[in-house]
Amino acid sequence: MSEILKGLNNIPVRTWRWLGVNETNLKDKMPEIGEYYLKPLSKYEGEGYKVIDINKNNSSIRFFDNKKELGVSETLTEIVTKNFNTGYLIEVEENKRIAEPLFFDYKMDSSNSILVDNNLIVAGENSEITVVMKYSSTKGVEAFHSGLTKLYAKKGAKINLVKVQLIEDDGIHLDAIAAATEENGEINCVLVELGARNTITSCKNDLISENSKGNIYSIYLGDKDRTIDINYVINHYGKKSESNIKTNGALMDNSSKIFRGTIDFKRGAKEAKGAEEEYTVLLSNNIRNRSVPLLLCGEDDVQGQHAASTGKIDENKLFYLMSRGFSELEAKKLIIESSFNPITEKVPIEELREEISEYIRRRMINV
Amino acid sequence: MEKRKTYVEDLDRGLYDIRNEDRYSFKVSSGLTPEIVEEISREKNEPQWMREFRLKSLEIYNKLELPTWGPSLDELDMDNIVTYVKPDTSLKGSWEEVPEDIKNTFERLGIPQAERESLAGVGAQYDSEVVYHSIREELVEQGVIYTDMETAIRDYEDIVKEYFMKLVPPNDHKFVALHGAVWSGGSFVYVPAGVKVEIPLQSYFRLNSPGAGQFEHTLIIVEKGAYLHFIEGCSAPKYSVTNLHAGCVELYVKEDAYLRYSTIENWSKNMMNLNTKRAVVDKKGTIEWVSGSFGSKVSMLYPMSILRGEGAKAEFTGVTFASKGQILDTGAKVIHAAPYTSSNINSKSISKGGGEAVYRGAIKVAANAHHCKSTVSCESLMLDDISRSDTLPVLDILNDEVDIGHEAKIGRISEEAIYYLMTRGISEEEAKAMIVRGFVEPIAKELPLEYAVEMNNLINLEMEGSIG
Repeated sequence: MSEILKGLNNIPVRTWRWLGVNETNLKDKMPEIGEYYLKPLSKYEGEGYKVIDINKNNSSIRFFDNKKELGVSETLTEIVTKNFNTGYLIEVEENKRIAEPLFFDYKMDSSNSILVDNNLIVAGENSEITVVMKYSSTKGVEAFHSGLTKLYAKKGAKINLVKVQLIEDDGIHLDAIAAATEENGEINCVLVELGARNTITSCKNDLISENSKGNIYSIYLGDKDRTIDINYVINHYGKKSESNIKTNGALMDNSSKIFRGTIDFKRGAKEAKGAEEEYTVLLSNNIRNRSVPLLLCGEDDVQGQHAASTGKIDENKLFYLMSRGFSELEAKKLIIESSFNPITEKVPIEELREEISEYIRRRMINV
Repeated sequence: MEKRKTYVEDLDRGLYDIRNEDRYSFKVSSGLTPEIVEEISREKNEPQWMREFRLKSLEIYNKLELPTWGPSLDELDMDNIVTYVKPDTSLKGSWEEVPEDIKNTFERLGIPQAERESLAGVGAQYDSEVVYHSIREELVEQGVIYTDMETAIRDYEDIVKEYFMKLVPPNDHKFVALHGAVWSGGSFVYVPAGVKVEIPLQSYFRLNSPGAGQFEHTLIIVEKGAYLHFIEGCSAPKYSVTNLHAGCVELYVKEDAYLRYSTIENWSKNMMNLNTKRAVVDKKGTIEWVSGSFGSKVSMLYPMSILRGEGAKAEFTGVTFASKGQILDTGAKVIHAAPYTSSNINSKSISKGGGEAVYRGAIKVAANAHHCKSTVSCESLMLDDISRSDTLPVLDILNDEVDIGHEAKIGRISEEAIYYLMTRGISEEEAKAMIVRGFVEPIAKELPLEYAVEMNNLINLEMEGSIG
C-alpha cells in the first residue's frame, strides 16, 4: 500500500524535475479503510432538494466516471470511488433556489479516524445551492481524510461549495473537487485549508459551455512542519466562459507550500476570460514557498492573466498598527487575518466564521 | 465590430536558405561511439585531459535519459546525426583567404560589413570549425583575448582547463553530456580586470552540412570591473534531414564586471535547437541576456543566471516568434544564491500559423539570499486560433526577506487598435505589423541597430499577406 500516496497532484504540463513541482509524494502509507459511523448532516430533506446517503444508494452517483484525472491521482480516485466509507448525493430540482446552506460536518474521532467521502452535487437547470463541508478531528487522533466531491451545474444553475478544513496537526488531508459547468452555469469553490500535517488539495473545473463561470477562492496557513500542496485547474471549453482563481496564504516556521494554478484555454473558447492571482506572506526564513501559475492557450480570442507575488509582511502597515498601540504580534496577526478576510467572509455560516477566526488566532501564537 | 479571419503567410527565409555544396575535408560517420569521440580528439590534436573529458562525457551521455518534460524529441535520431564536420579550410585571420562559397554565405548574412562598421571583433564558424577570427589591435594590446576554442586550448590551456564545463557539467542533462563528448568550435573571450570593451564582439555560427550537429562551445570570462558586449548569431539552410544544435555557453562575470550577451537565432526550421547557456555572477556583477528566437523546428533554451555574489544582478529580455511547424520552448532561469541579488525577466512571445510558443522559467531563492528582488513579466500574443501559447513559470523561495513578483498576460491584437489605425488611413496589414512591432519594441531597442532592423524585417515579412 506504500505506493498509493505517491504521484499526487500532478501538474498538467511537466517542467524541470529539480524544482520538485511536477508531483508530490507522501512518505505515509495508505491506512486500511474501516467504517465511518458518524452522520455529518442533521437534515436530509427540504423544499426543492434531496440528500441521499451513498451507502444506501449509489446508483446515480456515476458522474464523470470516464474521466481519470479528476482527483488527486488516478489511484486515489479509484480508491475513493470504490472503497468510500461515507458520502452523499445532493440533487437540486430545476428552478429551485435553496436559500439555507447545507452543512456537512465531517468529524474524525478515535473510532472514526479514517474518512473517505465520495460526494456528488447536481444542480438542476436554473437552480442554486450552497453546500458547506467542514473537516475536523479530535486532538490526538491520527486522522486520515481522502475524498472526492463532484459538482455538476446544469444550464443556468449555481453551486457554491465551501470547504473548511480544521484537522488537527497529526492528520492527513487529501481532498479533491471535480466540477463541470454547463451553459450560463456557475460554480464557486471557497476553500479554507488551515489544518492537517499534510494538506493535498485539488480542484478542477471544466467550463464546458457558453457563458459558464468557475471561481476558486482559497486560503492556507502554514506553520510548524506543515506542508500544503495545491493543484487547481480550470479548463475553458465554452465560449465567453469566465474564471477566477484567488489564493492568499501565510507561511511560518518550517512550513512549505506548492501552489499549482492552471488556466487552460482550449481552442474554440472564444472571448473567454481567465485570471489568477496568488499572494503569499512569509513570516520565517525556514519556509519553502513554491508557485507555479500556468497559463495554457490554444485560442487567440481570449484574455488571460496571472500574477503571483510573495514577500514579507508589509512593514508600513506593521509600523502603523504598532504606533496605534498594538504589539508586534498582535499587529502581525491582524494583518494576516485581514488578508484572509475577503475569502473567509464567503463562508455563509456565522458560527463557522467565528470558529475559523478563533482557529487562526490560536495558530499564530508565535508568529 | 465583425470578427474576421486573418491569414498570415509564412516567412520567406530568402538568404538564410541558400546552401552551399557540402564540401569537407573530414567527416566522422553517423552515430556515436568512443572511437568517433577519440577520432574527433585526435583530429583536433588535443591534450590528454580533454580527450578523457570527452570520453567521460560520452559515458554520462549513454547513462542519462531524455527530458521527461517539454516538446517531443522523438524525431531526433542520434544514430543519424553527423557529429563532426570539418570544413575544407583552416582557420583564417584574413577575410580574403576564406574560401569563396563560405565567404559569400557570411557576406550575404552581412557579417564582414557589420565588422567593418560596428564590431570590435568577429568570429565565424562554418559547420564544426571556426573559419575566421579577427579582433581589433588595441584590444589585443589591453590583453583581451578573442579566439576560437581550439586555439584557446592550445595557447591558454591553463585558463580553459580551469573553467571549461565547470559551470555546466556534463552530468547536467543528456544534451550537455553529448556536447561534452563531441563539442567543436566556438569562441573564447577573456577580458582582463578593468578593461572596457566599448564596442561589441560577435561570433556567427553557420551550419551548412545536412544531417550534421553543431556543438560549439563559448567560454567568456569577464574579470573584475571589466565590461563586454558579446553578440551571437546563428543560422543554417534548410535540408530535409533533421539537424541538431547542442551548443554550450559558459559565462563567468567577476566582481563589478558587466557582460551583455545578445543572441539572434534564426536556424532553419528543421533544426533541433537544444542549447545550454549559463552565467555565474560574482559580487555586484551584472549579466544581461538579450535573446531573439525566430528559427528552428524545436527549441529548448533557458539561459540560467547564478547570482552567487552579494548584489549581483541578472536581466533577461527575450522575444520568441513561433510560426508554422515550430515549437519554441524558451525562457530564463535565475538562482539567487546570495543576499541583495536582483533579477528582472521580461519575455514576449508571438505565435501564428499553428506555431507553439512556450515560456518556461524558474526563479529560485536560496535560504541565505535575503533582501533579493525579482520581477518576471511574460506577455504572449496569438495571431490566430490554430497556434498555441503556454506560460509555465516556477517560483521557488526559501527565504522570507524577499520581494518577488510574477505576472503574465495572454491575448490577441486588439481589434479596436486595428480599427483605430485603419480609420487613420493605415492598411489593415500595416496596422497589424505596427502593433506587433510595438509589442516587441522593448526588446528591439536592446539590440544592436543592425539586429533590430533585421528583427523588424523578419516581422514585416511574417506579417505580409495578413489579409483581413
